[in-house]
Amino acid sequence: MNDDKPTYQQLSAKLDSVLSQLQEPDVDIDQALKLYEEGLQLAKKCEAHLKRAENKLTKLAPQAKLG
Amino acid sequence: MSQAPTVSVSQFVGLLNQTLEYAYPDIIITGELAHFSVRKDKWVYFDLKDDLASVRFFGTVYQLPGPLEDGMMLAVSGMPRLHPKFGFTVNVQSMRPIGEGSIKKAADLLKAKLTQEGLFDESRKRALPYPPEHIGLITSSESAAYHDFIKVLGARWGGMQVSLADVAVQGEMAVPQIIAAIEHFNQLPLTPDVLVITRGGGSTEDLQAFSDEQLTRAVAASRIPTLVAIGHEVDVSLAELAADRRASTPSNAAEMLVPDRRAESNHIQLQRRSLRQSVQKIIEIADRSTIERRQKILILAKQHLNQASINLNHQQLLLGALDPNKALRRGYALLSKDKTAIYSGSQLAVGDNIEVKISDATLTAEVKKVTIRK
Repeated sequence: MNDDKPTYQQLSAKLDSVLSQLQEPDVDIDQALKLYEEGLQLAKKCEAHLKRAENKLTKLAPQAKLG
Repeated sequence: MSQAPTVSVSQFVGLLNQTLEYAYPDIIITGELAHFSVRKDKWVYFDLKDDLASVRFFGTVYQLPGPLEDGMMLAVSGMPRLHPKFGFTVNVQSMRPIGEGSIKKAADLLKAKLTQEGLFDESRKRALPYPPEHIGLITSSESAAYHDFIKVLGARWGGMQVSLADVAVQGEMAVPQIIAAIEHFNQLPLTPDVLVITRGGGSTEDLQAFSDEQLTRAVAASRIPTLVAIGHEVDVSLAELAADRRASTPSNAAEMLVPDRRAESNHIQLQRRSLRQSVQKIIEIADRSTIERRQKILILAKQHLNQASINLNHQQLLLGALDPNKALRRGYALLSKDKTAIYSGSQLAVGDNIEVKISDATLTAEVKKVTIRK
């Protein structure tokens, strides 16, 4: 796993958390606008993951088969 | 008789073994297991028999496919040998139960043993990353299972790395190759996020590798989370029980492993809408409170204004009451002499000219008499 680049799972979880923060009753408007911006960015990044079409297939060298 | 070769006993044993080796370099013997015993936790002794014959075998516990019981049918590959002291035996190279009954019996015994060891405990199960970035796939590249898995995976999700270990999924080589592949992936510097071990359905014998003890242990020991999917109708293989997750078919494994991009896309659209609605609601609430405050200020200002105008009225009334012109209109007169108001008789003498101001005229008059009242 690549540590510096968040996975889809991490992005999606973050988006969920932003949404639930935004739905808290005591969130003020400045905070709300910040969360909204953040949420949009996260949604965009998630969608970029969805647009990746191909899976990269590599075959292990045959000698690896028997260890 | 004199032409016959003459050899010592040891030489004879050596010659016989050479002949046996040459004659049967590779042979599999099948029969019913009898007199099975393990000594010193290491050496395995047993007979294989049929209706007419019985032959002694010798091996080690590492060659056992799992726990065995007398009466099972086995296929054993081995080297026939004449031991210098103990006589004829077959040295085991590998062994496996054969026939549905024996395979099932062996699997049941092994299952009981591994269950007792806790290999299948729910508490050992780990969550699979969803979706993974890198998949270690262990299957045969020629199988329908492989093609199904790759196809469904690609239709649902993209951008992943799939590393394939192309292995036999049945037959003699299946177990060692699959174990080697599991160990290989676990030793990589950058390990995959998940290992998928899969094959399509088959007969009980075809699927035997997936209930092998060593393979089952290798699945359980994998530091990388595992998903095992063997297409079958009836019995669950032991490797599946040892895996973190199991799927019913190779396609089902792909569905379990990654979300469907269309469903995810819809979900993100919903989240976007929800983001927008939430923030709009907050803005509306803020707006409404601004309007309410503005109205409150207006009401307060009006109240102040009203109070001020009431005060003004009072003052105007008071002022009106004090207006001297009003007194003149009621018949009073204002007297002055040399522009000085007269408020006392002592200011006047007979013959003085004074000005008399009444409401609509100013008169000049002469003082004829001054009588001071006491």
